Amino acid sequence: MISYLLKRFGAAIIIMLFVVFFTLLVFFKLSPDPAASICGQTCTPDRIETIRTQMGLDQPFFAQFFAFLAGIFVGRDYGEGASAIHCGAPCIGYSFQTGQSVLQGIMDRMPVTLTIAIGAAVLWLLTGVAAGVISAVKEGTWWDRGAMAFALAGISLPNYFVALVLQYLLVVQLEWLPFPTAVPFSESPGQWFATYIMPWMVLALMYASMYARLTRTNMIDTMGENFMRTARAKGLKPGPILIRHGLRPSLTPIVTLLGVDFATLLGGALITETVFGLPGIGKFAYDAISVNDQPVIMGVTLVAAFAVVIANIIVDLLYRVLDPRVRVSST
Amino acid sequence: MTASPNTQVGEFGQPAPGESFSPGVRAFRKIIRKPSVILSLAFLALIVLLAIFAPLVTRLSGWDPFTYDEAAVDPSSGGLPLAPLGGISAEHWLGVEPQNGRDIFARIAYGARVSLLVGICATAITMLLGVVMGLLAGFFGGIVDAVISRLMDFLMAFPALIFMIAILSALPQGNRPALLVIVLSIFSWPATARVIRAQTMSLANREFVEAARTSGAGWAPLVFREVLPNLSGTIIVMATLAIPNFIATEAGLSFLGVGITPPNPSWGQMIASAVPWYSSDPMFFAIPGILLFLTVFAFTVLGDNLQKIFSGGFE
Amino acid sequence: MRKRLLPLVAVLSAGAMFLSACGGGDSGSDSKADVDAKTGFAQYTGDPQKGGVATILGSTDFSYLDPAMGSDGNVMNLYQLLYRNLVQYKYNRDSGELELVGDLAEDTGKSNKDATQWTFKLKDGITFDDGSPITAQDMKFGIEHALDPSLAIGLDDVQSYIKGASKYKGVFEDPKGLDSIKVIDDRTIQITTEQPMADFPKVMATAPAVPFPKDKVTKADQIQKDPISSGPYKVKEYKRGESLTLERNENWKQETDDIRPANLDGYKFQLGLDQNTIDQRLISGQGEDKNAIASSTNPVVSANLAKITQDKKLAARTVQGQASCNYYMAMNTTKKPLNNVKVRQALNWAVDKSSVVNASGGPKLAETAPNLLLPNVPGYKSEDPYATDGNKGDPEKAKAMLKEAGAENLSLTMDVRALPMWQAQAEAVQQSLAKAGVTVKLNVIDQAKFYEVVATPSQQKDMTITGWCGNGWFSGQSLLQSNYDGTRITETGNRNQSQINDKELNKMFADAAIDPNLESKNEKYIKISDKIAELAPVAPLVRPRPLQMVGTNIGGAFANPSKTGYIDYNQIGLLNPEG
Repeated sequence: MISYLLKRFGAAIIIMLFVVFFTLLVFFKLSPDPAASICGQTCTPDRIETIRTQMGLDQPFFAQFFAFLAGIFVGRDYGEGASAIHCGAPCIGYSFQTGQSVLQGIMDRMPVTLTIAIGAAVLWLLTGVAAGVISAVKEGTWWDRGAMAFALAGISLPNYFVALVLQYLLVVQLEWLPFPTAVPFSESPGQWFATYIMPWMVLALMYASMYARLTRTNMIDTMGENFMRTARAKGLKPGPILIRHGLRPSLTPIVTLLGVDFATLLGGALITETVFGLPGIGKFAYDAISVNDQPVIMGVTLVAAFAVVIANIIVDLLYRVLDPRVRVSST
Repeated sequence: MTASPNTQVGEFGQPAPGESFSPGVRAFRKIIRKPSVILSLAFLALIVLLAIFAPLVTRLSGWDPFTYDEAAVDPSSGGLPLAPLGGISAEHWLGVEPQNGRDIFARIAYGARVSLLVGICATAITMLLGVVMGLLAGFFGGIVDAVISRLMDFLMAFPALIFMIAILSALPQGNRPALLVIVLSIFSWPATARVIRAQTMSLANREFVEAARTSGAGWAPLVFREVLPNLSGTIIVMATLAIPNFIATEAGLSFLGVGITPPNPSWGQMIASAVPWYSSDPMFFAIPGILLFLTVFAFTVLGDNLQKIFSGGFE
Repeated sequence: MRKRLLPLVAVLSAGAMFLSACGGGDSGSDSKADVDAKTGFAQYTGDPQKGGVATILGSTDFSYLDPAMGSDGNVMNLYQLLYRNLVQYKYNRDSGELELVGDLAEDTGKSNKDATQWTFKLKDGITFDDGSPITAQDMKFGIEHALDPSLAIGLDDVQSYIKGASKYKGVFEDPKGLDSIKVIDDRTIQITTEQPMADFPKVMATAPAVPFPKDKVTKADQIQKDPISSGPYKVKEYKRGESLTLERNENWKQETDDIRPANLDGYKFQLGLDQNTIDQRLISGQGEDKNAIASSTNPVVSANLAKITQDKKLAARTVQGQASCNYYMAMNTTKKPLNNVKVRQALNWAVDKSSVVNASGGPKLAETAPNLLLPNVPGYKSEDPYATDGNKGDPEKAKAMLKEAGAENLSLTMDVRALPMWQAQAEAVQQSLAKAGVTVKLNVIDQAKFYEVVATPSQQKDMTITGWCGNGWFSGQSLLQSNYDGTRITETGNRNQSQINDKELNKMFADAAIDPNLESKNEKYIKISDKIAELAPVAPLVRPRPLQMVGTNIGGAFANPSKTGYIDYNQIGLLNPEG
């Protein structure tokens, strides 16, 4: 088990190294000059050079790569002498456009993103799994067909379209909800709930559809398996059978999917946050992209990739614990 | 959009690895009579025809997708269409864009070309890459498998949406549809490859392949004659479900302003430019949104039904 | 030289979005509120009272809190809440005149005869937010702080005009400072310019020229993180991308400042909102939103125009901005056949300015630009040398001129930024030039990359549409020199986007800049403007007149030309702070 873990973490570190390398390379080669973006229109060649030097962009590629890696462990100084700007370890970059370390920027926006991700995940798990179980039990009925048709439609709806229509109906037309304003729960629970309920619904609609379909398929599969028949033959009641023998094994793939989906959301629900104007990590990235704030784009990419890599490890471990049938390494 | 292509593909893993698919003709017959399938096919046929014959159809309707018709809008009200329902009239079948009066029907027709082109091309490349890589990894195992698997892990760990937006906004305009296809494919093939790899692995150990191998067949005939035909069901299902996924993603990228460049129309971009107008000119917002939804929905319904056939759900 | 560009302001107005819907709200009690009888928009929303907090709704975060760094209209509007200059603008709503007055200084400064040496005397009783007095030493340090190369990305007028400033290594490398900025005594500062500069006080009104206490600023990013106020407000809390809260600076004294009424107890800027939401919130005016105003990055989008103009109450709390930017099509004069003045003139005749106005939101949101100056420029004339019937252009005339110049079947490429309004304008130009037989291809460039392309001559295509704004200093020097003086073309960061390099014009610029007599200097720039029109390196297109909405309880709102034509944050307040 320990050696398995070590192996997994080793692989994870290598993947992260590649992510850093590749991201940096892509920006180094493809992207417009970030110094020019900072400089704006009232700019002179001298100023661009000054900014390039300060950001370390005048260095060759590998020097930049190693400076970035070193920054993660020991921090980093941008510029020289008295006017240098310090970015403490773990430094994943400094945004000259916001005058803030990228990690700080991400941490500041984490609460909003976490709120959206957790709330949406709870909502889609409850509705998705419940709909899936009912559909499986009542397989072939109109209930089943209706739920599955609805799920297919949910997958097919563009979420920005749903978000805008929801906002138009609930806020503008019916005035049931106020306009979204991100406030902490402690400040105003009512406003907090009213703000986040729409993003939760938008994300939940999309994901719940997938989870419902997945749960249904798995339930139907497991219920047909031998040990289920045995349990039934032993005279156990349908309710407990459903939960203990039907649902539990069906949950394994759900957990796998949930881990990855949730981790992906931690990288920011970019469209949802942008459409509702909520200051989460996705909006942070989107705003950074629109002004070519490269350090931020890089930083969010790394943190998002990190979340997915870690989630994959956790999911693998859970997988071993949850499903009695699986005792072999999955990858 | 938050669901990256990877996530959705997660569903395709359901047919148990190694299961061989032998769709019965009966199942096909049965499914083709389902009203949902008939409606989906009919709708898609309409959209495909509209896309293919866009130049012809717009000549018939009288307006190309670029010409301004300032007589159809009222500049003093900020450019709202003069006719009701977003300017729908005998002249403009689906109304006009506010401010400049461009014909929405023509823009929808040409936009359909972009959506379908990007969706189908990206699917083709993704499938090609995914199947080849999956076969290689699954069939040869060992070091080949290790390298390909790590590459897949790496690509799947990437926050694809953020990265696609960043790359697309950085790249020069060039040939946008081609760029979109490339970028979409790069981040999507691992999901396909993962499924193909798993199925290839179990197929490679099955009796008939073993038999062929012991009879001295080389790897090429093995792969092409024994393994690949057994994967065709999976590939067809995955491809059918990938098309709507790509269409939706392309529209999402265009919605965010990094897709097809104006004045060339695309549905996602039409939705984006309609956002400010959705209460003052709801038709402008609703038309591309609903068409996009219906197209994606129709493809998904087809894919879903194909999946049922191949996984034996209709036996 | 100065002036600022409109990246953000324009971006946002262009931006987009919006809902609308149920309308309403009550109009405020009319304490001298003033509505334009013709348009129905507010000229002034009534006299505010002291107290209360206003909310400002914006879609983008502020660029920088350090005034050496920010240069967009919105952040400069904010700077005037936090910082004071030696001199500053005061706008007279009745006469429409913009007057330069002493701010920290007692008056607008005195110069020697050839306008190369300027002396300012500071007022008594002026302090920083910690209560320590603002001295001439702090003023000197403040200006030098802004010259530091690691910070100087904002307006660069101080670099351009103060002697030796462009070579200065900065306060951290060279703490001794510049010899050209001399402290005579605690309250007197004397500044020497590179050349005669009759307009120098206006340089001292630009954002970077503010005081900071010498011993308390030790790090380059310090002001950015923790601003030191000299104005009526200071930063209470700043959540990047989310909100900025200002509270009163108790050490600011009203009697030392006759520019800032400081009506409010504080400001709350809500940032990063969807543009949709901002208009909609102001239109519906629910709850606390009666105390809200739209940020100067977020004018009303054209989709909501009909709703606002149809409802008198909504129009009466909508302020129409002053025209303070010119958008124009720049033609690259180094490319054939645009090097031929006849061809450029023909394109000037061909452009349908009224359709560009429509693409910019229609006649209620923009007006045609007859030339490259602006209404507050001394001696301004509103004639358009290329005037056509209804501003619709004259394609026939253009065709004939092109034929004469041997440039028929012309095909040109235009760089366009990937933002809806700019694209709409480009498409409108594309359509109108097509009527004159000119094919225009659009090269759409991402906003983040746009400036790099158009400011790098080697990357520029044939044409582009861009703009230039004034924000207080209205003169040919600030509006024309950096864009049309051929001696200022650079390989990168170039602002002369048409790359016009005309010997006679260059000489006129050189001559006007050093004229020590302000009156004859101003006249020279009018002549320069006429000369530019004749050379036709650009075709002036439109001047946006953005609409900015305020809540029912907001008073003191009017469009101020020194705030890029938007509402001056300093002048607003609540009509009824209790309610």
